[in-house]
Amino acid sequence: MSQRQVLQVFEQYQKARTQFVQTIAELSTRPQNIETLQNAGVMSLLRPLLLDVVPTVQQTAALALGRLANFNDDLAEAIVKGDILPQLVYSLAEQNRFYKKAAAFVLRAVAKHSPQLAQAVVDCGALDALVICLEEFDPGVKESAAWALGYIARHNAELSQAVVDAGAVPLLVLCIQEPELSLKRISGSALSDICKHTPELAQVVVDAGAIAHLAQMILNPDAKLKRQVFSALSQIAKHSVDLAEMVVEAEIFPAILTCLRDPDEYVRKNVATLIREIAKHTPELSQLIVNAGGIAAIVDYIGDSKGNVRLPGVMTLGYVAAHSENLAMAVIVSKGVNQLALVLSDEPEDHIKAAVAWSLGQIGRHTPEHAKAVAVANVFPRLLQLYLSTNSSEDLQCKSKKALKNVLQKCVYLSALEPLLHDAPPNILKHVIGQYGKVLPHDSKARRLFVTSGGLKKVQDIKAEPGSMLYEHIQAINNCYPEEVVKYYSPGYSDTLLDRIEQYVPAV
Amino acid sequence: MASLLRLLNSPINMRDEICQLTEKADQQRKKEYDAAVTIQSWIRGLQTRHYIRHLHKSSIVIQKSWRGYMARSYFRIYVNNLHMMMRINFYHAMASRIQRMWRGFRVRKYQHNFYARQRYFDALAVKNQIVRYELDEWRDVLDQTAHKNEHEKRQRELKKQARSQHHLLSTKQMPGVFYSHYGLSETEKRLIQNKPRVGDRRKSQRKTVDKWGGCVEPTPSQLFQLQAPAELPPLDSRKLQGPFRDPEEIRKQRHKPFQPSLRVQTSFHALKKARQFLFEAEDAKRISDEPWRLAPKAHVGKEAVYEPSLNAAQKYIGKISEEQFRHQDLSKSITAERFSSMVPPIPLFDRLNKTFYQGQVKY
Repeated sequence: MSQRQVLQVFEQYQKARTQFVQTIAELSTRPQNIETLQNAGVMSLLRPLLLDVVPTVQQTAALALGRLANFNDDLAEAIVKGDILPQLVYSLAEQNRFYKKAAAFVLRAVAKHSPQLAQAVVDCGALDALVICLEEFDPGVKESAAWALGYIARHNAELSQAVVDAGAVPLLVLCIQEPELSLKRISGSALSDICKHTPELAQVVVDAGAIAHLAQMILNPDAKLKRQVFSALSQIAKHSVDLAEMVVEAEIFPAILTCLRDPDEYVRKNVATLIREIAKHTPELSQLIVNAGGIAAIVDYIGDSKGNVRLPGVMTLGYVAAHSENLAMAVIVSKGVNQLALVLSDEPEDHIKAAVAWSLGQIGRHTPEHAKAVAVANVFPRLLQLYLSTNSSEDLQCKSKKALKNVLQKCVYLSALEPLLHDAPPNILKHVIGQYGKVLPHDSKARRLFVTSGGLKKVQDIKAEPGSMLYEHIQAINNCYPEEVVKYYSPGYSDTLLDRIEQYVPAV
Repeated sequence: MASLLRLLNSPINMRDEICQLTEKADQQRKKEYDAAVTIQSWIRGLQTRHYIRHLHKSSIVIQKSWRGYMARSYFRIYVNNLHMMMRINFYHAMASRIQRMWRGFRVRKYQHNFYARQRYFDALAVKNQIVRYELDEWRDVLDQTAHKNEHEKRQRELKKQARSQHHLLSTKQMPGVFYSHYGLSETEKRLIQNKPRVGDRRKSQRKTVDKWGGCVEPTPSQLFQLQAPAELPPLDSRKLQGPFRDPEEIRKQRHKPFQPSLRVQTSFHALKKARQFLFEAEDAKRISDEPWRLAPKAHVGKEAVYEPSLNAAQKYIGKISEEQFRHQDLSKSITAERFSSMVPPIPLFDRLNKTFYQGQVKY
């Protein structure tokens, strides 16, 4: 055979390989094909193609592998078991940028499924190679590398520590300053994943100067970038007071409040999370938020959103009110109680209702003024209903009971206590009766109203053991009234009267 | 004796009479004695009683004045104490009043300032309103921009469609799909307005293969970052510059001639040159060039003898000590110390001494 014919064989083979790999890459974008591909043994076929001479074949093979691993964690495990990872890591250092992108994609696809797979990726020495990729010029390579690092760091603190030890954090902070939006997003997400585990990791990120750059991007128009930025800032702020203060010192207030009105709901959720993490540490930080008008913005945000997105806002109100009674009064003045009452009646989810109950308890527990504000919003019957309902989860029952108890112990607004008299179980009832016992001795109008509304009758019907608190409260109430009145309303009075009639001998 | 016998023989019973008389006298004596005793006792009693009364009275007077004195002194002390107590109670009451007012003020102002709290909540409500208003405005702005972008995007889509569907335009011969008898439809209008798309756009969009494998042209944003900023950072206007000097002054200072010191002015070899100059000046006047010798040349080696001039000839005295010039005979002076004036000179007397003879005015 002539030379040309020999070469033609090779060309055909190369064409076949290229076509195979490109088709596999296309097929693996659709989920329904992946089963078939897996059964056909695509892994073992793709593996040698990674070492192919032609760069296009290599890159496309890597891309196909990445897409396959992305879909399913069995395939990802197969990649790990097939010893493909060391080869990828080695070639990460050598090849051109398209291959680097594809290889980083494979690493990310493998690492995202579980901590064990991520650990396997780390054990191959991928971290150093990925960090070197972060120093490249091409923004696409940087993006893939940052994405892979983010997915590795997401799982637990050890993996995050490994990523930090590889020296990724300063490079990620540099990446966040790059002009490409997608690179900014990914680096923001990676930093957020690193920070979320322990305070030391957050401190490392803060020491690299991340806060200033993140704070600059708060007013960027891109919604996805804002999501990541706020997520990162809230992960930093949640660990300790010092970190929260450093986040606040970056002068995010009041600019952050405008983002509470962003059209994208996850941006709003992350902003509310950030404000919650800042508010929960000290009264001074909560005071800062209140003085910036943050409570009004949060209340409006709760009104605008639905579902799980509302949860951070509700918890913010609870945390702010928990610190001191001035802050609780500030929440009341900003119309927080009405909004929370609305949420309590609207929401179907139990955990959100539990959070609302907790917040209302924190607001109302300080002084009678606060308790009155909570009572006036007609919250008690709803809370009682949630406590008594069998559908409520245990957490919800516990929280509503505690909230009721805390607020009732300070409430002297009797018209709100009245409905509770008739429905409440004994452990709630004793607080209600106790409050009546505190108010009635001093207020004659209230005494009259208590009798005419049937409250005294109800109180007489309650059975209490002598010596219990309930019994003593009932005695305190009975002491406010003349004996005849008490006897009149005591149960069985009509029977005693009838007995007396029977025994009465009329004077002739 | 006779008498005695007479007596004895008298019929009078003298014994009995004497006895009676003596008895009577006894009785009488007793009586008188008793009476005397009674009188005496009475008088003694009187006297004693008088004396005792007198003593009582005096003792009463003494006691009275003493007790009065003691009581008054106690009373004074008591009144003093009472007065002190009154004053102290007054001070305590005033101090309590001050403390009460201060404590009330302190609690009302610093611990729980009710009115400040009310004002704070009012201001907070206003601030909340402002924040809500501004956030609503911001939301409106965002919505408007989103709406506008949507609108523009739709317009662009329609324009793109119209440009690629130019072949559906109706002509005079053949009505197009969008032709209507009732007037131009929207699509027709758009087809007419937009010019048709020409050429294969995909060719220009095909990516160029980069030969440098990895190196990329810097993006415009990167280039922008490499250039110097258009605006320089603002000057710190708080630091004042000046006051500035007159430009004339500065020009004079700039062009001031060089004024070196004398030492700088003189050249390094000035001394040598000066010596040279003097030597030449002297040399010109000299007659003979030979050095001056004490003795003629022929007598070199021998000690030269100096012959002094006759005018100056004198017996050589030898070392003249100071003592020979300034001989002082201290035996005649009072002390060995040198004369020094005890008082400073008086200028008036100096003047007077000039007018009169020297030493006339003595001091």
